[in-house]
Amino acid sequence: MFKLCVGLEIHMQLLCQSKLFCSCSASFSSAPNRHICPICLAYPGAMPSLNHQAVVLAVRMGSALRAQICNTSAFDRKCYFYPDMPKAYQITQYRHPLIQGGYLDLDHTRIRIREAHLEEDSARTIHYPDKGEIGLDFNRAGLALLEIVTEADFCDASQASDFLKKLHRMAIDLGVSKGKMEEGSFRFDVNISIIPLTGKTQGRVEIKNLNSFRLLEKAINYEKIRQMELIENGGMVASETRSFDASLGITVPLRKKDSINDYRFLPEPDLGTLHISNDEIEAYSRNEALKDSCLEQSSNII
Amino acid sequence: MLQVILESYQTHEDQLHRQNCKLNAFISRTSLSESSLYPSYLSTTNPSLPLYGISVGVKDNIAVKGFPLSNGSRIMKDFVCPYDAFVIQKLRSAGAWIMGKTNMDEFAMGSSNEFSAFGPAINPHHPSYVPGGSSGGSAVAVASGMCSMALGSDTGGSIRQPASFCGVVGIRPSYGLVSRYGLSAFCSSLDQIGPLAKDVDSAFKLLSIIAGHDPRDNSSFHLEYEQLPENSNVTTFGIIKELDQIPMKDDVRNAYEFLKQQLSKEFQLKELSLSHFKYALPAYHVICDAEASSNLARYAGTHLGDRVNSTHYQSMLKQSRSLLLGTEVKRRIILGAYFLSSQGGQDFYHHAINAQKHIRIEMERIFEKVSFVLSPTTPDTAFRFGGKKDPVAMYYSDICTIPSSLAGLPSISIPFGKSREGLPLGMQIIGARFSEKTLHRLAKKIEELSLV
Amino acid sequence: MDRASLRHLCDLCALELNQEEEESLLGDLLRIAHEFEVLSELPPIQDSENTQRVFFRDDHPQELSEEDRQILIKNFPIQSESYLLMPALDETDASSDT
Repeated sequence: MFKLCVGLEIHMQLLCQSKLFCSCSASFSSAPNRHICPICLAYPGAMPSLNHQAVVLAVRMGSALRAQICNTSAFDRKCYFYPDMPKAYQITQYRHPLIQGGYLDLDHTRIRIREAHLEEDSARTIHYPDKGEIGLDFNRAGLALLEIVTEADFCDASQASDFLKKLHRMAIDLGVSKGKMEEGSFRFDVNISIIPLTGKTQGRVEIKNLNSFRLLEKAINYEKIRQMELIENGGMVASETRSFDASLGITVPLRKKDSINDYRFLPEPDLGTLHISNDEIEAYSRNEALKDSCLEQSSNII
Repeated sequence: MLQVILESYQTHEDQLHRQNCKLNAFISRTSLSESSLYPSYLSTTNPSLPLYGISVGVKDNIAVKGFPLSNGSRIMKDFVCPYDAFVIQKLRSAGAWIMGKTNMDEFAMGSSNEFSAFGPAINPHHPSYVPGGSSGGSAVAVASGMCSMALGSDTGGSIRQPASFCGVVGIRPSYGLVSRYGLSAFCSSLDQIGPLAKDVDSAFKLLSIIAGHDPRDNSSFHLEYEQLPENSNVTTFGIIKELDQIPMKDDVRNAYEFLKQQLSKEFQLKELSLSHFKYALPAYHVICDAEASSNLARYAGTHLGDRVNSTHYQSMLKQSRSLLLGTEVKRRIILGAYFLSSQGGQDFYHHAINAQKHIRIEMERIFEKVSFVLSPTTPDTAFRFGGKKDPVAMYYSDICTIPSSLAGLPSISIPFGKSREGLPLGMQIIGARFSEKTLHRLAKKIEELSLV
Repeated sequence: MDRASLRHLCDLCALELNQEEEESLLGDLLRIAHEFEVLSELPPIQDSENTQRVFFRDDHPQELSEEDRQILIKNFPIQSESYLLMPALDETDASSDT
């Protein structure tokens, strides 16, 4: 009567010494605002500078996932206001991501990867509910992330959990990510929708703030039932973002999902296109970086 | 020699002291530009450096450590900048003295310097007339002798037009020749920093110092000024029919025709068409407003600049931005958001970028036929304060300067006489990309002709 | 383009216009949408050769001096124990996109 569609979005911090677009240290620090500079603090006139190692690691991961590494990819600005984003846009890869396709095999299923791309991480927020204030720590702002988006190939919660465990292990073994969930270097959101075999297509619900595989399974199982019951009672599942409340074991609404249009994607005018040759792809995938580590690959011909 | 330098500086300093309260060219100076520090700067700086003793005014959207970076806006009026732009590092290495930060239209959006939170700058040739914008302060500072040279920024004419209105030389370099690192971004794919000075040689001297590759700016070309090609064989010049035929003030028309005639004695004149001319203004405005809307999103009272406090984040943003940003800036931000959104199913931004490509290609073809193009810098002279209430009329002032901006080509405004009211006239020459050295020679020739 | 769409745009830009500004902008938007339509007339150009390539930076961390770092912290409008402070979000918007 229902088909469950579950997809995952994983954000893994890449194991670089510095941030994605500036030379601030990427090392974890509990002291707030230690690793900051005019670039990651979005100062007027500061411009992004791409970390080569982030590209190497992304390619390595993409190759391990048997994906197509694009010889040409580009960066875009995803524009929206949020406290953890000093530029009020995130530099990501929307139109031409670095990595397309790919898959990871579990015991009895193949999970397909839709795409994966480089983007910068946001600042860390702490809450002072009594004062109605939030505190921001920009140590994390600008760290290199690889976002991996899967197809909705998961049939149940344990598959999703198995996939994440395998991906997590792979990332650590390849030296691509530290994978320390408690430090936020391996994060994931899940998208769940129900497709009724008859009747209307329903909305897609995104669940955020899951920080363990166990909680992920619980959240998926809860949400599946919530959506089924909603439809059986004649309701419609709204597309929204929800959060999993671990103590109560339920998902609760966070906010309405912004439509794609509202992000006003703009090709990043401060970064050129990312070109990688097939030789480079092969070299990076083999756990080697090229000999000349500082590569200025702009071909500026008069 | 030292005496000459000291006297020259003192003249500038006195002029500033006497005139700035009226002309409002400089909006901040700080303790770092105190005249009492000048002698020790002289004694601790290597006298053989190219800008030794030279006082330079810097537009207040260019980062200078320890100085404000107001961008002509209330939202940034108390902000003190913690780092130097690339061009400032170059100025310092060349031994220059930074005189202070100059007035500008807010966030570089304007053509008259009327949109400054610090009050307008005044045209030194006539107190009721605008100096032009957005680099109005820099143009006034140089024209009135408050400093030797100045830096401005040009997106669609913001150096050239005020240079023309104030009777000084202004250069918009080839896109990519001068690093934008440290220039508060307005329209990233069009912005360029450039020099203003009283004479052609000084302007090019300043350009040669600030130019050069910067690995931190991805739009910066791998070129130092010395590597630019020399071109000794100039035989042809062109006029663009569509620019030639626009309505112009009589005095501008006369000066332009006279110069055309004079140059025709030495170079062969070719009349060329820019068939994509009608797309230039729309493409420019879409690209600018779109990029500006994202470049200015960081000014929200969050982590830098002034904040209007509120109970919630969202209202804090709205109040800070709505109260502390000017009307023209808000207008362009919203238009820019419109051009980037898919509201109404239009794909404005991508069509504008496409139009820009067409224009660039056509302009490049023009320079296969001629070595330089001549036009007036603007179809008018400086206008009265409040004289252009309609934004469309204001934008028309940039019609001659926009095409070369879109194509990334170097262009220079050279003062060329005065109108009957005594207001300066400016003529523009445009060259192929990276042809600055050729344009230098040609600009000098025009400068000589202007004295005829 | 109607008033509701304009207000939505303003929300996206975290701006609030007064009535006069709204009227003026609505007029502009209508005119511009019409005038700038010409841009869609042109055939698309594929121009990949002329695109600037990205510059790479070596993965060497470089920290600011403590003095410079303090300047950045001092530039925060309000701070406490080195955290930048700001008002909390309205309840309906409590989660980030990353």
